[in-house]
Amino acid sequence: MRQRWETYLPKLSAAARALGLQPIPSVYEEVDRETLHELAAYGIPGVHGHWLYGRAYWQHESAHDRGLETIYELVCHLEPAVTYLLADNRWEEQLFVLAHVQGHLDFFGRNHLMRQQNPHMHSVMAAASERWHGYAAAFGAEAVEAVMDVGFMFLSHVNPHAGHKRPAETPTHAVVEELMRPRGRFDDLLDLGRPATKTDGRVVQGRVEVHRGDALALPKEAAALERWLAEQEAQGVGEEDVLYVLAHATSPPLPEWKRDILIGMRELALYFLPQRRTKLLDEGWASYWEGQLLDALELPEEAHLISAEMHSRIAGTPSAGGRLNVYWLGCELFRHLERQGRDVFEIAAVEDDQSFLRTWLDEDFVRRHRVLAEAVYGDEGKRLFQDPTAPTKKPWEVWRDRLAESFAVAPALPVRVHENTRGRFVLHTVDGQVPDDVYARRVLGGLRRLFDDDRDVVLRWGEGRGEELRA
Amino acid sequence: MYKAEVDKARYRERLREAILARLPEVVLAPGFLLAPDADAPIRIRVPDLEMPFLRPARAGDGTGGRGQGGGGRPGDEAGEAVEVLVPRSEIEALLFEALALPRLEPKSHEEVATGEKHRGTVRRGPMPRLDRRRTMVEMLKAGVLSEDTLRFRDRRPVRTRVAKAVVVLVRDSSGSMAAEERRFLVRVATYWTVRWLRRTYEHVELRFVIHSVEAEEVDEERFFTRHLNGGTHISSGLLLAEEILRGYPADIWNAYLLAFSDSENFDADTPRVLATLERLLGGLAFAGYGHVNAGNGGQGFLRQLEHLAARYDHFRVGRIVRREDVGPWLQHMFGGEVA
Repeated sequence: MRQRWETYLPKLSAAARALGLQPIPSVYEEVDRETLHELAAYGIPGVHGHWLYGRAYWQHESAHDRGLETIYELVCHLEPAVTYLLADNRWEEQLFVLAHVQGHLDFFGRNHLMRQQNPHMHSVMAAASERWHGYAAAFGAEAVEAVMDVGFMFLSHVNPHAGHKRPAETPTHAVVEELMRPRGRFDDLLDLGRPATKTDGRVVQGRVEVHRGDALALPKEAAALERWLAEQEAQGVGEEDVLYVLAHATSPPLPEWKRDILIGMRELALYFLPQRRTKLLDEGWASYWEGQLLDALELPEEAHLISAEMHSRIAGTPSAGGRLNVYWLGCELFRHLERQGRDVFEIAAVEDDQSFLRTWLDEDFVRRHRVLAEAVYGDEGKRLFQDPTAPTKKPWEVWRDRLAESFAVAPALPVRVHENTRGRFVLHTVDGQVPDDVYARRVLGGLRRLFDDDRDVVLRWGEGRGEELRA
Repeated sequence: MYKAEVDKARYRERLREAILARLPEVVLAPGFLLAPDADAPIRIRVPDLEMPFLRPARAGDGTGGRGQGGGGRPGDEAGEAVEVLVPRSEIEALLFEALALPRLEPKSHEEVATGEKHRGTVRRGPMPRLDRRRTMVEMLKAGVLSEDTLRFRDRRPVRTRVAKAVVVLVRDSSGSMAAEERRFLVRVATYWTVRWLRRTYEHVELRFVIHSVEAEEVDEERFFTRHLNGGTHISSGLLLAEEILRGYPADIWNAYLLAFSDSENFDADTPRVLATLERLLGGLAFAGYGHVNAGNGGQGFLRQLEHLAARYDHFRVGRIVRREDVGPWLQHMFGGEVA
């Protein structure tokens, strides 16, 4: 039977287009609560099971049971998009959710990051899951789980550009590149400012001459140096995307089935990366438009009341459960920009959460919403306009930058592949940050089980002897 | 079945294993006693449950990452434990499952009116209760609509069997039982006993008795904190319990008795204790005794109780000497074939 909310879909689309939105096509499906919780746990259909998803599902369930959380919808950016709606919503609620969803559907097609999502990821994952079931039959479910574990451990380290660019610079690379740099007549003048501790030398007639600081056992022939550099690149040395290196550059390569699992998990993480980077924009954009869309429809008064009530419940307050409410912040910031005559469509297209805040959160907005700072930062927020501690930046600017920084999507502890040979796999923390001992040991243990051979698996954070952990 | 249910089952299995591995600690988690009735999640340390990832050492954590086997936090020998928040009900379910405590079969029930429901029809009744469909059927049968064809929904009270339990807790509060640790052990053992009984009985009533040579009934707060001067006549507590239980007819109430003492009873009183116990056991669903004494005292008394326990399936005697004994004590008390 045709649901009442369905009759409003064409009108809603027309209203969206009239306002300048271009929602991508979507199918709409009503599902029960369990199914919605399940989809929320996995993110998209088709994903291979793991107990971590089971925990997420259980957390959704118990948060719902204790009245802490209600999931109204889930929109998957696929082709066509799939919008899952909760079946036991009243039609007025459903209509409100649909208006909200139009914002998401527009955002999927508009934002430069979201446009990079592979819209067939559910098929990719379903096909992968079928293969992985085969591996489980052949090698045991535990073995598949152990490889997936490693995938989860390094999920936040994925980088879409891995393998397509020069490896990020390690200290060794910096030295080598310095050595390989062609020299001109006035270089000695340019070198005057360089710190004396750095390895110093040059390539003279095909040979590497190192003058000082030769701590690195580098090849002495320039040609060998080139080969060495190419080798390092092939081994993924300097790469921060550990899953990429594990899947593509270990020597000898991991068994095909392990590589397949790691590649699949990396693909999935890359798929979700744009969403993680645009949570504020996406929810803000949808909350910004939902009311305008419903206003354009001719609705019974009751429906308007319900949607206003839902909007204020979801996007009405700066903090939700003691945390910053991204629905509110995104929506209010778009409204603020609209009042200033900015092109909000352009902003939604080109920004991510971090750049959105850093570029567009201005003093006026912060003053207008002191409550935001106070809600999120308590007493510290109250001092926002008095505290003279930062001489070069105004306090609100410091605060803005910190807020933007909190939206950065980055691994908790970035690492680089430092060595990747037959006998050794060494990770080095970026900037020499000290890792948490307990977790690091377990991560190394995961790598150890993955390699399943006698190579050294090491995590280093300095050059000294005590500054490393081994599995 | 949903895929997520399979994964959830797998997660719960891991959680169960983790909790099982830490059972003695979990039973003693302070969260339980601090807020006995809240359903706030309990923080417990379990091994290997969170998916680890690389993260910076916590600020101020000097030991974080001192490598080559030198690391780890104090008191964390395994180096593999993490803290998780688990809802209390979840832990309890897993815990009772892990202790393999049998489901209790209440012997006595009370019939309580819990509401009304419609069942069948009657010929007289108020118009709002008119059963249109049945009336229509009757009308068609009779060929005419008359008073006789009217049918009304009948409302009848629904009686539900409610299982009720009364638990009399008897604590020896003589001078020797005043030590903080002993009171803590009694408290933990009591907490879990009551939680477990509440899983079976819709209604659990608690009565508290403390005694030295004489007994008095107290409230819950005093039960755990008060001490009395003088020696120990356990019989005084049991006699008062007997008195209290007279107010709970056996056809309605399932009666439980739990006594805690260091067993350093006056020798002259012991025969009276045994006699009273034997008398009580006739009417009790279960009686349990917790020997809370790390020293050598009271062994004679304890042995006599154990002799008695050997003859009654629903009387158990166990020792709670150290903190880790609480879990096994519970298991010993309620495990096995007790119905």
